Amino acid sequence: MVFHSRSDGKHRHFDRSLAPRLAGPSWADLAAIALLLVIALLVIVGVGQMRQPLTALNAAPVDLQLLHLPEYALLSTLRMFGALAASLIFTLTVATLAAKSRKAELIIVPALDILQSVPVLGFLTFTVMFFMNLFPGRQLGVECAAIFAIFTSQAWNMAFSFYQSLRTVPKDLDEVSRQFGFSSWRRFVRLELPFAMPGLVWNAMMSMSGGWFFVVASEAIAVGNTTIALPGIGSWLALAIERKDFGAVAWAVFAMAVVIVLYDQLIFRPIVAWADKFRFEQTASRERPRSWVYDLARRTRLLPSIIELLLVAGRALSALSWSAPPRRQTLHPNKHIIRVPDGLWIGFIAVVCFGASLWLLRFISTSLTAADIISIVGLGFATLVRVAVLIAIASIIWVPIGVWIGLRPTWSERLQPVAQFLAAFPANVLFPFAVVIIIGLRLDPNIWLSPLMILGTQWYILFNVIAGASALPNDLREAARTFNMRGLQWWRQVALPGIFPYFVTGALTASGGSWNASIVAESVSWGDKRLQATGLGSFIADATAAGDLPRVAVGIVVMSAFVVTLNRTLWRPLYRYAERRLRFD
Amino acid sequence: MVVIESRNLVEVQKVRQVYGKSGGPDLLVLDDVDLTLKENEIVGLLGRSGSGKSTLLRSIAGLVTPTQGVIEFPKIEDGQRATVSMVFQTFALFPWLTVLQNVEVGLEAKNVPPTDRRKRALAAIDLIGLDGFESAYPKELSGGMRQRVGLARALVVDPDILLMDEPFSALDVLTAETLRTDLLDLWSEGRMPIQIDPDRHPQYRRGGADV
Repeated sequence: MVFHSRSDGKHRHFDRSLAPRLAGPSWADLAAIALLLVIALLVIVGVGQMRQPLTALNAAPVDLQLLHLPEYALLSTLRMFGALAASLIFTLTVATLAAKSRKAELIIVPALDILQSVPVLGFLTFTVMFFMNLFPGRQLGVECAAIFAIFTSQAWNMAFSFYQSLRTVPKDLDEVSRQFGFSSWRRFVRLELPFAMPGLVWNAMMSMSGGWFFVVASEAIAVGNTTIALPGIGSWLALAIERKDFGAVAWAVFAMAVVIVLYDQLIFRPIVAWADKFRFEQTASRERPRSWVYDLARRTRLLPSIIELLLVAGRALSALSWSAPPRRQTLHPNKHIIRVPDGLWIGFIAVVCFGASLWLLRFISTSLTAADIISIVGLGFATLVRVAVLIAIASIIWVPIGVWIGLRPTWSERLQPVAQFLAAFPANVLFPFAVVIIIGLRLDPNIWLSPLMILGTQWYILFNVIAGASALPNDLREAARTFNMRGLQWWRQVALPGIFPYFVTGALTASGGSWNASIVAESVSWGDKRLQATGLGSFIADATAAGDLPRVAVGIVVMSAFVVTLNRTLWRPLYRYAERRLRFD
Repeated sequence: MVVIESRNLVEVQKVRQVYGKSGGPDLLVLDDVDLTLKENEIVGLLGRSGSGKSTLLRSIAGLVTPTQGVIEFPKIEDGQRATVSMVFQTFALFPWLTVLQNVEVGLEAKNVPPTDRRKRALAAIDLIGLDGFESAYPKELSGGMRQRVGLARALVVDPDILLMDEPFSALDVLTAETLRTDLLDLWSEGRMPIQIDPDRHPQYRRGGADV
């Protein structure tokens, strides 16, 4: 009864974890320790800075000395990662709750859907006031407000992706874990978390990219009479714009680029390389993401032991006897028994929502009339036209380019990271240049400010189309070539259907981002000159600057309504169509 | 096949399984099924696809709850009931765990101490003929080797009943045959698989539906 793997193919030997590691620290260890120390030091310095009272901030306001720029860049980056950590915690708790509990799901999923499309920048006024009251007289309050603003731009898509992953755990793996009687904790760490990992990492990267835009926008906050400038790249930029200092703006652009490259290399590349093993596929893929930091970490003896130490806590949790889901249920759940509390629950939620809307309506109606609101909706349509036209123009430009790049692997390998870098680059850093051009050439701001809205978001279209074109199955392309399909027929029957699902994803992200960007893009200044385009974005920006809360509230509600309606009536059906008809798998 | 002793390991009584389709009529999959599995026997379930073989297996494994009927595990020795373990058609290996970790997963869920766990897992891997592949990931293995991992994972927990849901149907004929012979060799040790496998007794195919 000896088992031989006779016909099972080659006998290769895999001795990775079982091989004894070399004794003694290596150069890789030294490098890793140095890297860790530098990061720890930077965090300590940065956090110490953040805990100062507000008076210290007033005593030493943000200035444009080049010496301070690295420190500012560091502080902005720390804020980003603080928000990312908060988003992760939010994702792991709230999305898990939504996937596990039906009652929670009924609230959380629609709420996430709406929060995803709400203009985050509009909230700045409310959050700053809230957090400043929470920590009166301390810089920490403003820091929290800035971090919260970034958090609100990062958390929703991460939570959504995690929830989706938890709901689509492969059936056979689910059966294995139930058959072995996994406790809920073990099920989470062994099955659900690993399965959700690639989506979570990808979305965290997207969130991080989107977050820079908000870090720049939220550091220098002016609410009514109070103006607070937290030390950071955003404040540096605001000051540079106020003083019309082109050199300083250029330095901010440079600092931004350095920071993005650094965190990409030091943090995201290694995570992507590591998360590659969680990709749910049964065959090894040809090209694995690589990262020198990850390779370095794997070569050390120190890091694995640190990770081992962290895992002890996880082990302790696993060892606890969590209530395993019952192996055999005696009670067959009756559908009617479930429906009744659900109905009550929905009713309760409806009453709460209705109450909240009533309260909001009373708050608004104190200072706004129906005519005001109609004119605000009109402004919404102005911005809608801008977004629609810009998305169309961007699509016409980037779809052919993206397809061309995507079909050429060597090019797409080189250009994909560039497109992602451009998406991460906060476009608002570049606004001053646009203003100078518009003023210099005496252009109409109503038209020429519009492109700023899509400056940062068009790249989503580009890199999604690249991804779609490179995922075009090779046999399909070869079939097209055999039948000599080209020109219009090739585009209509091969390229466009192939990239369509990807394009919809990109266009949806771009359009959502553009609505958000309109708040800073429709109202731009350079020194004492101020350019304004008529639209909902500039309306919200003005109301925020004036500290007029009812107007801000109406602006946000109207904009949210526009975005949600657009998603429901345009993007969602397109997406469903693409999912149904044009998927390759 | 020689029956040495015939204690009942599991008794399936009048099991009925209806799948409710939303908006459509209910689908009756199992109707009044009785089945008793005894120690030391190999039982093959035959039937056309869709006749409910997998559903019956999953009911025994406790993965689905029958709409009606009972699945009983009588006490065998010192008050213990028979334990069940399952091999899946699609292998169902965790792609992010190594071969060793995949095999250890069931022991881990039972809170077997790590050293013991590793020893038993390595023994099972050895037994199943995957020595040297402990730290490979499933995606680096061929189909036949992957199903060997699935088998090792099912066997390492020392089940009294081994359920196999078309374990070889995703493999090519030659690999399947090798694996099947190896498994039969192993069975002579006294493990008891019930499995769905229409290829094993082709002559029974016509009327073999249990359901």
